[in-house]
Amino acid sequence: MEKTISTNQTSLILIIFTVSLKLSVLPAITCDFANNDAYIVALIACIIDFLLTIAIIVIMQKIPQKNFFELTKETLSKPVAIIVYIFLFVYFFLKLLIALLELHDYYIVTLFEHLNPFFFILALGFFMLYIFNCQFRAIGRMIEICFWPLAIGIAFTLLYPIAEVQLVNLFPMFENGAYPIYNGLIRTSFAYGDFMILFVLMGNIKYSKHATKKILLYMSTILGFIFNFYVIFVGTFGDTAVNQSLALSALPLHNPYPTAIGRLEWLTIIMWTAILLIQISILGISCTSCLKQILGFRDKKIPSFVTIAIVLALYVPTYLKLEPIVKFATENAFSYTAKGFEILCIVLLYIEYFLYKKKSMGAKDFKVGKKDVKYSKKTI
Amino acid sequence: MQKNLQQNIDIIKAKLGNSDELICKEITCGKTKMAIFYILGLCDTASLSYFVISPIMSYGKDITELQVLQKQVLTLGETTEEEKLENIISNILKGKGVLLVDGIDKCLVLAIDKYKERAIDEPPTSSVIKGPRSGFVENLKTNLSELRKILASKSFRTINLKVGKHTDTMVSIVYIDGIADKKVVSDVKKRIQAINIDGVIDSNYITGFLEQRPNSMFKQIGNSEKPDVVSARLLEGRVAIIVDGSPIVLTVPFIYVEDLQSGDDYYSNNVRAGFVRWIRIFSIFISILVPGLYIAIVMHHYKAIPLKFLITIVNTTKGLPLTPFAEILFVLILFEILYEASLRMPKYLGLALSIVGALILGDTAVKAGLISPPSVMIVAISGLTIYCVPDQASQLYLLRMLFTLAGAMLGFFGISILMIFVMVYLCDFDSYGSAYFAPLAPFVDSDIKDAFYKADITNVKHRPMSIKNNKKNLIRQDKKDGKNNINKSN
Repeated sequence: MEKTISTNQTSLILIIFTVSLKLSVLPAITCDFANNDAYIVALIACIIDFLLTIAIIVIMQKIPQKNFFELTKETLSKPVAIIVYIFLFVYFFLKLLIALLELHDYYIVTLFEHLNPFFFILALGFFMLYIFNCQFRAIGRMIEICFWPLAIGIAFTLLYPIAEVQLVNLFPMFENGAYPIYNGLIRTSFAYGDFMILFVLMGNIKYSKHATKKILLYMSTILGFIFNFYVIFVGTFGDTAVNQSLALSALPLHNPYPTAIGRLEWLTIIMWTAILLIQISILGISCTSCLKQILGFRDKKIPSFVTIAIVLALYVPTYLKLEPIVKFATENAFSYTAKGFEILCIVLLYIEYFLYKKKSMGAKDFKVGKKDVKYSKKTI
Repeated sequence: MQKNLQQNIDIIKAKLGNSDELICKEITCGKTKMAIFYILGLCDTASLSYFVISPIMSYGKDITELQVLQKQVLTLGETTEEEKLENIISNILKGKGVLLVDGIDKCLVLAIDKYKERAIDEPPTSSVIKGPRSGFVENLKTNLSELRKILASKSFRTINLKVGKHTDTMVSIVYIDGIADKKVVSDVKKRIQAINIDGVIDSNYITGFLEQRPNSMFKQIGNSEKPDVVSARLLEGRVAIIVDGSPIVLTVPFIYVEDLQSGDDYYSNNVRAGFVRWIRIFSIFISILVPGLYIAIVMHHYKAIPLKFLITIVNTTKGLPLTPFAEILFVLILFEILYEASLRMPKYLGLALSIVGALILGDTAVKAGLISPPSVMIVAISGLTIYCVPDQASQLYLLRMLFTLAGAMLGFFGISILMIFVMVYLCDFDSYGSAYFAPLAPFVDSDIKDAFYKADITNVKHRPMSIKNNKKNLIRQDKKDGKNNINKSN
């Protein structure tokens, strides 16, 4: 049985999940579609994510004891629940693959001239073998410890080049009309949609008082940070932003203190690696949880083995090839499918909630609503 | 037990192998024959003569009931009736006297046991500059009395259990009723009762049975040699386990922060104590990470260090026969050998060892060009910092080796991946319902004041919520008492 996580841990998992795939490869890709309006794309995408997060949180709190699989199974049917979870598995799995490849590329570019592929895959294999079997609670607790050092490390990336930002690079807005922004929004949509993790966390959260406010406050802070990052990125590099394939390693080099170059950005590199590893852990556990529900296993051992086997089977041949996967993930058809699936999940959640409410109205002892939520004073 | 005295004597002698130390003193009281069994050297013969033999012989009447002996004859404080042969044998072996009376199928157990024990002095592993200096000794009764002396509470509770087929060691579970969580007490009791082992020589023998992950290299059970520390832990709601024959008292639940707290912190200035705690935290990181980071930088990320520093390293490592990793590994193993030798070597050879270790192995190896000065310095810094948190030393040694290996294989990436791995592993730990990294993860704001800094005692109004204790009784200072009241009176 999954052990519950606190509201604070949920928020932090959501933050790390949100920030990790946005600051490395994505800025240059967004610039490729939307040119200097990339920061507007980021702003709109963040607002959409924020609104959809609210939509999920509201329902989740009304039925805190149910996970998404159980809810779907009870209100619709088991086959529907399995189909939804198969899609969820594929969704998280693709993100996992991108995160793994991004981690590798990031390391090759920033740190290593030669990376021993055998040691790299061996280390990752052992890491995944243990972590994918863990529960979200362990990851949540770990993020609670790491959060502030990580946040300070990443904040350095923004503080360094802030003096180099040229506002002229940000204007004029909508220079080529609205289409590049729309195109950018659609093509990069797979990198957003981080609220999807809530579907896996659902049913395992102990809500504290003002849980919605807390989660949304954290969420808005991190989305604000992402927007600022894009502003600084575009403001610093202007038309050449599209060539900065790894934004996070490029930004610290643009700081007004040349003596600091080659010193403190190492801190950011290590912090970013940690964030990507945490992201891989979250995605891996999500995949394993989905597979566990699909296959109907009691524990995660076999699902985690299956997930790792598929990861390695795809990862080893595509080793060093982030580009084709990113290209696939930014295809129009795939982007529409992914976004459609995200929205479908939310719609399903609402339908299931109303069906559940209707079905349970008959039961004498049933109450749905805020009163039903037992707030925990402390989740230890 | 039989009613016939001679039969009983024969049975006991047969059971104990009629050893030379086993004394059977036969006496008579009126016309009643009696025998006293005891083991020479384990009991106080003066007490036996003065409080047992002398009153019996001067009583002069026949004895038909043990209660007469207990109430009218014997002047010994502690006597108990016993009828099971196994318990009688066990009591004799533990140094107690056993009085057998002809015609009665029971016996009296006489508490005349007296061992020569070490004097109560300051434990070598946890000395303090200011504060109580007494430490536990190897006697369970003495240890309990030391605790009772501090905690003169009517809620002080002990549960005594016997463990070990051949040692029959007494194990005491100590807690404060109303403060400790009853589930933790019963869990500890169940685990100790379930122990099936030949013998328990020290408290460490039962540690593995109390741990929830016995195969883990990480510490899961708290321990201390000081009564003041154990008393403070009991007041926070922990449960202590005292093993007869061991000066180390175990405490559960254990959380990592415990090892960052030292007894000294509570007897010195709060600001100083808080500062020292941060020094300990940094020391942990330095001790495990510095060799690994050095290897990672030298082998993979030499661009990460300033040019001047890089030149110095290159100059000092030029022409060495070993790779940086082999070099660090060599110095680390050398350090471990020196440490192990210094522990086992007779004290009078200590000076010689310092000369051999520091001068011959260190200085000469550098001069001979076998190892570089930075490696010696790195290992020395790491070795020194380990002892800022001595209770964690054993696991820090192993972690240091693992991080060095990770740094050598994959540089910063290896170190990052291992760090995340170790942290997730430890975050997954629960010690008797308490999270291993509490109050940091999960974050318990009220407990931070005695974890990462040291708040004034007047501000610590609650017992820690991070550990599993009786949550209904968390107040340790009533509102009417404490600081506010003191201020008013001033």
